[in-house]
Amino acid sequence: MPEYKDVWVYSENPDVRLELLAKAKELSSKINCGTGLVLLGQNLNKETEEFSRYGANKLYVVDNVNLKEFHPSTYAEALAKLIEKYSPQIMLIGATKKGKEMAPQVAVKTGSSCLSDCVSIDVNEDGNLIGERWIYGGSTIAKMVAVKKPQIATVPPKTFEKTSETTEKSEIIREEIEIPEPKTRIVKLEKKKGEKVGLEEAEYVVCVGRGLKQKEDLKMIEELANALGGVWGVTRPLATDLDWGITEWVGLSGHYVNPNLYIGIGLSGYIQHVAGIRGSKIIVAINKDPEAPIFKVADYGIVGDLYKVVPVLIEAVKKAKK
Amino acid sequence: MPTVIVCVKQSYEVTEIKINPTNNKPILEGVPLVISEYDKNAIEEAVRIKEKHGWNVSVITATPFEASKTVKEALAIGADNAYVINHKAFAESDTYVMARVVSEAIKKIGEYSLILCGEGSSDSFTGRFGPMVAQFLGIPEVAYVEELNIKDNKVEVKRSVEEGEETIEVEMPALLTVTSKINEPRIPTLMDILKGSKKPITQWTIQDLGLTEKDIGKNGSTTHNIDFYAPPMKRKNVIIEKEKIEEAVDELIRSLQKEGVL
Repeated sequence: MPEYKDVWVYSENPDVRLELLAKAKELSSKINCGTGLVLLGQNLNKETEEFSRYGANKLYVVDNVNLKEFHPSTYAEALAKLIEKYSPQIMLIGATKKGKEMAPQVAVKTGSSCLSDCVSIDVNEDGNLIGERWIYGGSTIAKMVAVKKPQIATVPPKTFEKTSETTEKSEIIREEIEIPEPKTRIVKLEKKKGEKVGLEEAEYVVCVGRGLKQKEDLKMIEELANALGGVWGVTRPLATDLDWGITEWVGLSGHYVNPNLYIGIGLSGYIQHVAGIRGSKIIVAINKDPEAPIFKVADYGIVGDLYKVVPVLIEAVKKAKK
Repeated sequence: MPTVIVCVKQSYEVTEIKINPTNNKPILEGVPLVISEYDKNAIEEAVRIKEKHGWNVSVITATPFEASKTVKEALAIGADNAYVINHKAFAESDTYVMARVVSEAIKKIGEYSLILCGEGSSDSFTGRFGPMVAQFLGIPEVAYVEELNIKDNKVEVKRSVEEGEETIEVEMPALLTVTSKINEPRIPTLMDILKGSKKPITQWTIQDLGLTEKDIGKNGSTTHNIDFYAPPMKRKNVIIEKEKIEEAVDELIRSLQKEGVL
């Protein structure tokens, strides 16, 4: 049995990398070990230079032609080989879609424990990793402990504050790893249009549910979102029950938003939707039904007909934003 | 005839889960068990492959509970046969154990071209199961599939990730996890249900799969549950009641400005 030590971080997303590194530093001081940051990809010189400045004790770099694009199998292979060689105790992986796809494969390859989507992580008195995550449609927190080392946890973006630059440089370890060619091939990647901020990143989010009577009325919702300088989304019932050409929703198995201000309009606030809005700093609800569950999870609520309230709100927001 | 295997989980009907207000614990007693939501999309997609290409569809489920209702539903939707592995200790087994059990069962089935499962289960939604099974079997995997097309010995899939929409070609045999966007699962007719009830169901024990008690339950699991609880949402719950809408909205704006969010 190797001696497991150090807390490592991997994410293909540079922001999440720094968020997880902040947590890694905290955990490593608790269990008295070092931190390691892993970079995987091709032509990583610039990234290596940049990410050696954030206070990770070691920066592990695997620069390989077969890591040019993300394939879960090749990335998992690279990470597993690194883990086998250096035996970190804890490995934090960003719970992006790709991270969540890769982490379980790394776990099986290395015989590790894997906790998913942890909204909080810690180590217990035995030095084992503990993670909490939402289950049952976002109604319940499951607290779990990893009992086999190494211990992997995936952590959603924006869970922790980013770490900042330091003067001390990381020790850079360049690793040559033989990586087989993937059995998957990316035929095409249609990039998301740059100008639109995603629901996850937006500072203001307006959501609407089945209280909206017709598709044309979405204009009003969009106008409110624009006035706020944010984006709008819908509930799952609106997306799936109606043929309005909307295929994405906020809530369970959809988008999880983290704005400063969320406004829920004409939606009842079922737990599946609420699961997606917990990250909001302030929640406002507008609904004509005073008994709507959304009011129970809202900071501020107005009971009223959305068709009467929203136009007034649009004007008031425009005035306030001037 | 190529085979597509669908992995099905019996999952709690999450909308039926209530929270006990005295101890803030979820009440699972009496909550119905159903086919996990996205697994239904996986079954539907497999049946569409069968209808289009004449493939054979097998479903497989490993569960601590009685599974006949779940399995019969899958057979009614159009699967040809089913494999069931029951064991009480699955109730305290983690995804690692369940993926291992199912992958051993798939090895026992032997020949297959494609394995489909939901991107996550409706109750715990870790999304770990599919990628883990693929890894245990040593086959390529693509998650979050929204569209798939079989092309000879390859399958072309579309999925959306944070960076955009990817089209990926995978060599078969492969494992794909599907999202609810891939299709609209059919509701079986009475005729389908009758037909389904006559299809073969094979029961396997863990010993049939070459596993022992040590491999499953708490013994085999790499993660253990410590606690389940429903944290109360700490929100202000201020309902702004004014005679006129304008007044209520003004009050709201002032409150939001005070909060520093506007």
